[in-house]
Amino acid sequence: MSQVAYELPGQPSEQPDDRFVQVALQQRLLKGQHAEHILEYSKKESVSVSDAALALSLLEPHEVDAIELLVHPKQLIPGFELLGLLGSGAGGFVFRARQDALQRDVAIKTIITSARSSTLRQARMQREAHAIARLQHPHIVTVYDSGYFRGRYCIAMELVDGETLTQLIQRHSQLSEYVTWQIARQVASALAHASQTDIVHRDIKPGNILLTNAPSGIQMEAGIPFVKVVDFGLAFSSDQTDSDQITATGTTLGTPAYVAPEQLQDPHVDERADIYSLGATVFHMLAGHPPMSDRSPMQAILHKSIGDDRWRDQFPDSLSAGTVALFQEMTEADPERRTGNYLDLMNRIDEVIRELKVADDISSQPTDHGLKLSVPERFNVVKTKRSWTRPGLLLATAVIFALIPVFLKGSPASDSSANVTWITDGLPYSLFDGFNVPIEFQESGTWIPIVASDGSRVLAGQSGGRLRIPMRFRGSDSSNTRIRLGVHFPAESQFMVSTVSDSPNVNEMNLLQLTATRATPLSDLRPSPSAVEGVDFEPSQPEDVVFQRLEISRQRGQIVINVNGDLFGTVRVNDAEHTTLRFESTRGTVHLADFDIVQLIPESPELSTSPDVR
Amino acid sequence: MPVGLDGLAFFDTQGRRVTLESYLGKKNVVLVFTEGFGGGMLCPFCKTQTSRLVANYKRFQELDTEILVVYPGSRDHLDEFIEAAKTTDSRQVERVPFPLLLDEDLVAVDYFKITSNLAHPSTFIIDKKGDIRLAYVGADMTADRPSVKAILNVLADANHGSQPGAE
Repeated sequence: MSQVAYELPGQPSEQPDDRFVQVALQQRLLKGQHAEHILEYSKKESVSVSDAALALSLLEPHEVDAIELLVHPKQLIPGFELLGLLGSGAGGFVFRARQDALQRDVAIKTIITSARSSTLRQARMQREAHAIARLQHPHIVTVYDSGYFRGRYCIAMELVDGETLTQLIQRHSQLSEYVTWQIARQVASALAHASQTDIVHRDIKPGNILLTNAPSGIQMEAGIPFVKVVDFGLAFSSDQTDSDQITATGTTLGTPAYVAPEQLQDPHVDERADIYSLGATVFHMLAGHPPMSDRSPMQAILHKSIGDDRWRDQFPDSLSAGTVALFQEMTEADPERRTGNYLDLMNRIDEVIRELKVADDISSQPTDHGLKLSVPERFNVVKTKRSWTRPGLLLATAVIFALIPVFLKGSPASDSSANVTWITDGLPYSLFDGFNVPIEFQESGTWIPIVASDGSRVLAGQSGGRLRIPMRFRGSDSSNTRIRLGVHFPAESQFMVSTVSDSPNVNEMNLLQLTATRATPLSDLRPSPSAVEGVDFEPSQPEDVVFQRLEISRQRGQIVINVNGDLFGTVRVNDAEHTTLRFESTRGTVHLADFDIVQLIPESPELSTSPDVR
Repeated sequence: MPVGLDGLAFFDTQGRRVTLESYLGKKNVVLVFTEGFGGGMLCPFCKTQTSRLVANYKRFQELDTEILVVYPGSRDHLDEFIEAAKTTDSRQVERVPFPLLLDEDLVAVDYFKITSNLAHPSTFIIDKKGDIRLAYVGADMTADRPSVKAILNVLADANHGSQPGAE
């Protein structure tokens, strides 16, 4: 958690007003000098600090509301402790929270005080919860629970560390065709699943597409982020009767730049409306700006309402014919002329991706996938810090509340996702028993089993200490394995992971370097988008020892590295050559714990032979 | 205790058989592998390390510990090595007070996976239960041996049935 930049006079103090200011500072909603100003005003005028902050216009009402919830972090929902504000919007908040019973972090979405009396907003949240609860898909955020607490409707949902597609585009002038279609493909897969349960999203746009790291075990091509579609608050299911629907009166009809023309006329749209919005999102990725960015929202609505689709002419003219054609098919103003279902759409996207690969002279062999693409390089400048206390850097879900009735016509579609899920086969075998130096793995330097300050038994490696770990499970011929360990840095130390070979003719590959506060990809690793410039850690404290969790999986010719549960990077390897990992303490002393190896197998063997596998 | 550790056996310079098993339950063992004779010379740092152990042997004895120094490969130049080891920083001793062991067939070197020209310079601290409480494997011809103090600290902790805190 970030440090409080401002210290209250006369600390320590737990007076409610002081606590309010502390939380505001922690959440970076206030600056130190403003806090002083507020406290002075509060004292002088004998009003609460929250009223003082409002009177001085240093906080917005919804910010005051969020701070007050965080001042009493366990009072909103029993069993959940609010940890910090992730984001806020016109109608609500998303908090990071800790679920005590399951010891996991979740996202809590709720509405602001002023919206509590709005049955429309409460109903919209309830609708969102019910919609997502019916969906179980890797590219759709998962709902854990929902209900009314202290007069607010709240949704506890999967916490997604990442950034929105909007943020990604903002960092670049535009995205490449290859990355664009890889992202669109994942969104289409999610929407296809929703469509199978008769749900249309109705507000697909970059702000509702989160990009994160692939879950452990799911391989993604290097440089391609993992998509999570969020904010199903506009979604509506066709199995609900009109009497259940929420009136559209006075509400926004989706987002003008992305909304399908027919949705402006009649909320009873089908999946083709989402396909149109996805096409508009593709435009945004490739052009670097939203459709009709030179027009006001009202003008955009007007133009779309009268069938004016000249905005499509601004599509970059340097793009491939396949990209242009598919974009045109997705954004036809007349839904009857538009790409009609997700199976067709995903096939068409796959076709464009294949054409792009051929055009870029990229081998169709899985071992070469992604290695020669120019796209990941462009994508690689993305930087995501894990500083979740900064609102906006870590989003759980977009929080734009609008209410639109919808009527859906479901259409079955298949999710032909090409990702192979690798699962563990049997139990892990411990590589360190807590008492003995595992001499079969030592390569050099000094290694000592010790007890760390938190009582855990660790293998301490002093500077220069190296271990060589063969990526092969005991007694198995398969090199598909996962090696897992926790790394703790008791001081200014540094740890490096590389591959080595028994053959003198094979070069080592440097994969990553860790310090007490940071993981950094090294030259031979293809980092995930969020790891390009490294990933920051909360530093370990003597009284609160933190082990950074490192998972290194070998999955049929590829090494996949996860750091603290998030995909960090991948590298193609020759199974016969890079057979061994090297762990090295390159500076100071590092502590290794929970050090084990387990066999991996593909969850669906038939998928693993698919040409789509990467 | 690692599998096979208690089965390791050596001969000392007097031709007597020395097994690690014989120390189990009785004494800690500091097992030091020298590089032996390679590249036309004896590793100077191995000689220095051994002489330091000689100079501090009493302190090891006080911690219920035996030092075993392994000379790998052929016994050529062994006498030269022994003479060097007997010359400590402060004095010349009459004899090396702990066993010097031969590993002519490199069986122990192979067990510990420290094969080099003959052996990487290595140090292992094995407690009375047979657990390896410290492992050091050095690059050839380097001076980064664990200090006497560091070894004594690990032995002291082993004797107390505990392990040192990290920080």
